[in-house]
Amino acid sequence: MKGLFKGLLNENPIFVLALGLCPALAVSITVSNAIGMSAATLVVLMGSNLLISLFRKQIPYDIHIPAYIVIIATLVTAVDIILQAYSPALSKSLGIFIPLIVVNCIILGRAEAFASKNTLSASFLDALSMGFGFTVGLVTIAFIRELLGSGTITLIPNGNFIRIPPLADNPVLVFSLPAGALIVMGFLQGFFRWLGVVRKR
Amino acid sequence: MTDITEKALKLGLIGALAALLLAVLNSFVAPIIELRREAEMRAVLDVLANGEKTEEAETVSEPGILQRWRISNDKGWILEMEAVGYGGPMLLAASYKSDGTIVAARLMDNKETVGFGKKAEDSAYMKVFEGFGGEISIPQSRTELANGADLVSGATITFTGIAVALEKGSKTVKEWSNQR
Amino acid sequence: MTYVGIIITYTFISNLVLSQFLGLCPFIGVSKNSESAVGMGLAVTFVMSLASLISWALEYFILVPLDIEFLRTVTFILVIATLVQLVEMAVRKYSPPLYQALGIYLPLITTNCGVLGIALISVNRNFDAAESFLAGFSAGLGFLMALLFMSGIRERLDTEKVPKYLRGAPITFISGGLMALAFMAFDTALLTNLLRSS
Repeated sequence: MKGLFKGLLNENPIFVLALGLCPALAVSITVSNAIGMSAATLVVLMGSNLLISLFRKQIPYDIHIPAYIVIIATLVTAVDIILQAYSPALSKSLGIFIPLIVVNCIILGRAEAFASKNTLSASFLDALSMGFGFTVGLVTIAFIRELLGSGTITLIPNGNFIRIPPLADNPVLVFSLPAGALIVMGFLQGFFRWLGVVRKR
Repeated sequence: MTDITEKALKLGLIGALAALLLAVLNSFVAPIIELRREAEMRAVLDVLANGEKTEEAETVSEPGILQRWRISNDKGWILEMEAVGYGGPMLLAASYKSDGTIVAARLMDNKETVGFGKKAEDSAYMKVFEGFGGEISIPQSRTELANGADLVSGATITFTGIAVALEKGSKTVKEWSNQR
Repeated sequence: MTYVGIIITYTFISNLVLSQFLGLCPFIGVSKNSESAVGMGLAVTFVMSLASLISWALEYFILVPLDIEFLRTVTFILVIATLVQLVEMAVRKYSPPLYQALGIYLPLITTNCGVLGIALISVNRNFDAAESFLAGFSAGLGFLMALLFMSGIRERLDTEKVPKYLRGAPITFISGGLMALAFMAFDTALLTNLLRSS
């Protein structure tokens, strides 16, 4: 059980390990985007961790990086075309950041650091934990940015959203722009660092 | 040497397997994507045509305008256009009367940085442009809007990009009408 | 788009780091001093220009004719990884001083999402060969510029009293955000308005 929760706080991929920052900031403009992105990343992460752990003894060390990249890119492409077919709204709003999951350092990072050395079940748990931590991080950023930046909370990408009246009337636009994303990220990292110190005491 | 060959073979095998799997998946999924795109385009055309019939799509040599559909009985045109957005082009479709008045407009595909055009996607946003373009010129900035200014509180960038494209469309439609 | 338009767009308006959220990891990781910032920036510019050009060739000579566009992500990332390897080997062999300067940054470039990002953007925008190359080159320049500015800020921040929990990465993000705010001035609408009024 402890392994499952390590990704949440102590080894949170976004705030503590600082991995997968680009998608985290780019798609966190609405909560629904964040959930969609997390789900896509989680599927790819689980797939790659499982496959790589399964074939870790067959893949020679010298070619392990290109082999991992091919496996990851295949999974990403599969997710990409399935989303295009069955969830075009989400696919449109995530756009180029779906194929860019390939270069999300979390996935190659976990493949290299964990799945290539551990058993199938441990790798599965690791993917679940990291994906979970990524989701929590992404949704937190998106929640803050959407709430302050447009005064709404969008849970499903179907055009409906929850309006928060005083904020929706006077949104702090900067939070939905890149500048706001970077600032929110900075403060959240600081907050998680503080949280880590407080929890240790 | 055999060692290298073996490794290269293994890598090639992984690649071939990956390509094969994707090809199989793609053959199932591609028709669905195609159908969905066509349905989307047709739905937009139906809305924009406002109950009128449209003719076949034609390509246009005008820069910024991708396709046009004649609305039957010379009632006007529907144009698919490219607008400049924040960090990238946006596709929009609009129907015009023959005198260049905008009947309706829609934002189609948004290749802008994720989410920037979000506001423009809800149809209320695009409504502020309706009725302009004929006798009254299209508002080019938010300050020119008497009402509905709060509707477009989103990015200035997106608004200006859409306005510029819509105006271009209006002018082109007027030219086509004058030519006959 | 004109060539000048592409250079302005990808260096300033759609600056990879400050408006497209691409290449953030090295932006935070390698901006501690200006020397490494320039090294990383140059290496990225070089790889991006080549990668965009080669991706263009792959797209229009292989993927489109064979109707296998769904393999785009797989082929592009493989090309980038191979390219980075080749560049590393070539630089090591032919220019040891350059290798000394850039060597350690080269392996990091494969996972810089900006490289794959700009290659995919060029294809999405239907750029031709020259435009793709230029987009890659200007995006690299934009990255170099952002990295260099950031390293300047960080060298100063080192001597400032930063709150304990914000030291390092967090304050870098916050400064980056303020920089992105300044870059908003290079906004497409501004350019469009300028061009129209003239």
